[in-house]
Amino acid sequence: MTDILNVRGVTKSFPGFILDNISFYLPKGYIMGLVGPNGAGKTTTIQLILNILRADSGKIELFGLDNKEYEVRIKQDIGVVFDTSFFADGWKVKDVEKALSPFYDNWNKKHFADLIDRFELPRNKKIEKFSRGMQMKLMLSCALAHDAKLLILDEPTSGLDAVARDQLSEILQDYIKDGERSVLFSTHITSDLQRIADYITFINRGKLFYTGSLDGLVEKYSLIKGKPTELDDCLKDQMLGFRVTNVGFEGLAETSTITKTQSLILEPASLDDIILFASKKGANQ
Amino acid sequence: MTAIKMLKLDYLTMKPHLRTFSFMVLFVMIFLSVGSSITLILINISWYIALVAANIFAVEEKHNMGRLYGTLALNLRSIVLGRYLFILSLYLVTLCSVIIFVGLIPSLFPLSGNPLIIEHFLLSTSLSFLIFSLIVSGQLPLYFKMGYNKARIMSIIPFLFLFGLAALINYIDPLGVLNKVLSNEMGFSIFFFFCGIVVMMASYMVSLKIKNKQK
Repeated sequence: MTDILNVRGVTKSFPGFILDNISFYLPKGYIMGLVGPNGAGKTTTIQLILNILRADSGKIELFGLDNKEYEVRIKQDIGVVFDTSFFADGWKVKDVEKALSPFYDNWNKKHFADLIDRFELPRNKKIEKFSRGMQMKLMLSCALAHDAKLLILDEPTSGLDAVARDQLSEILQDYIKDGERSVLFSTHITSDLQRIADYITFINRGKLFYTGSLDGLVEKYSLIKGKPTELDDCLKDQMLGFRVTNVGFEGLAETSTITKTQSLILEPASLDDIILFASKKGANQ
Repeated sequence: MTAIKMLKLDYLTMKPHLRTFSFMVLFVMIFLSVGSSITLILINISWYIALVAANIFAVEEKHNMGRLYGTLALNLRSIVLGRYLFILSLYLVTLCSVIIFVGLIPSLFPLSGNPLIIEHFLLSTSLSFLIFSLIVSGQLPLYFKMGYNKARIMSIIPFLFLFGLAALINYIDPLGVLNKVLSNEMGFSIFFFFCGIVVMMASYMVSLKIKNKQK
């Protein structure tokens, strides 16, 4: 199995924040969700991958090549979609193509035109007048028009309605189906990932919490529910995070460490549960 | 080569503003040309273009286009070099337009009745280029370091420096300096062009270092 992206021991420090020793890899043909609460370091990680920021230590390889040494060559094969458009005022679809196409050897005019038609983007409307969904589709069209082997999406679905998010999920699944391309998808909306992601990398407060298969993550943790009286110190120690209400408590723990008692309820944890409780633990530490 | 692509990208970025820009240049040219010498027109064009060219940083900042540059198949060197080439080309295009306007339509722009002397014209052009280089070379590293909004106030420093230099020459011996320059117009033309290029190159190196450090 060849890795499209390989991040090894990457550290980057800023005043008041350290992205600490992050390692993960993304094999060819899969979708990886990059998750974590606000300020966890997801965007910093993406900027390091794109060599917008330079790591203090560690190594990042894309397609087996160092991301600093072979930056221009690597970026020929990367498509990036952000949460908001980065195009200038007054540009129309044709201006975007004129601006971006010279940078890519594999830019396919026909494919770009087909994508614009498929996404029903108006050619004569200024991009500043596009809805957020349309802007996202335009960025996606640019990313796909040069036959990118890796798609990096940084919060592309924030502000999009369920229909647009569903469309994006379909496009991404279609994109990786030949087994030669991969997607790194950073998002807060974990329901999108639960449907399409094969791998998850979870960063919390600048540290790597988990990297591996989505199924592995979901199986690793369980949701525990019980009465407030059952919440003793031993159980608190076992849990990654918990919340207590008048009627009971619920928390997250590693399935293998839970000592099951008759009255405790164990439920499979969703990705949202894991992020929520693991972030709480981070906040409590 | 990718710097040229970046230069084109900058032109496309400024495309919606170029019509206004051209109109303003035309207006300034007409305004300045009435009864002015070519030297004065070219000098005024130099500071005016330097002032206007900074708008590319404003547009870049407004649309967070740094993110776009980060995704494109180009490196930092091309981004910085492309920006210098864009601003330089803007000046050169305007300079050529002025020369064509002033040279070819003398009936519209009476040049104080003086015939155009090639040495004098070269001296004026080189002086204009030197002033432009000094201003832009001081401003660009500031914009690269702090961004347009933060550097806007500080970007007047190069203007103040030039005013100070002019005041100093005026204080020391203005006629002496003028006579010295006019006694060897061709030599000083080459010297001014050379200084302008050196200053621009030094500024480019500083800007590149700043951008590298920001990473």
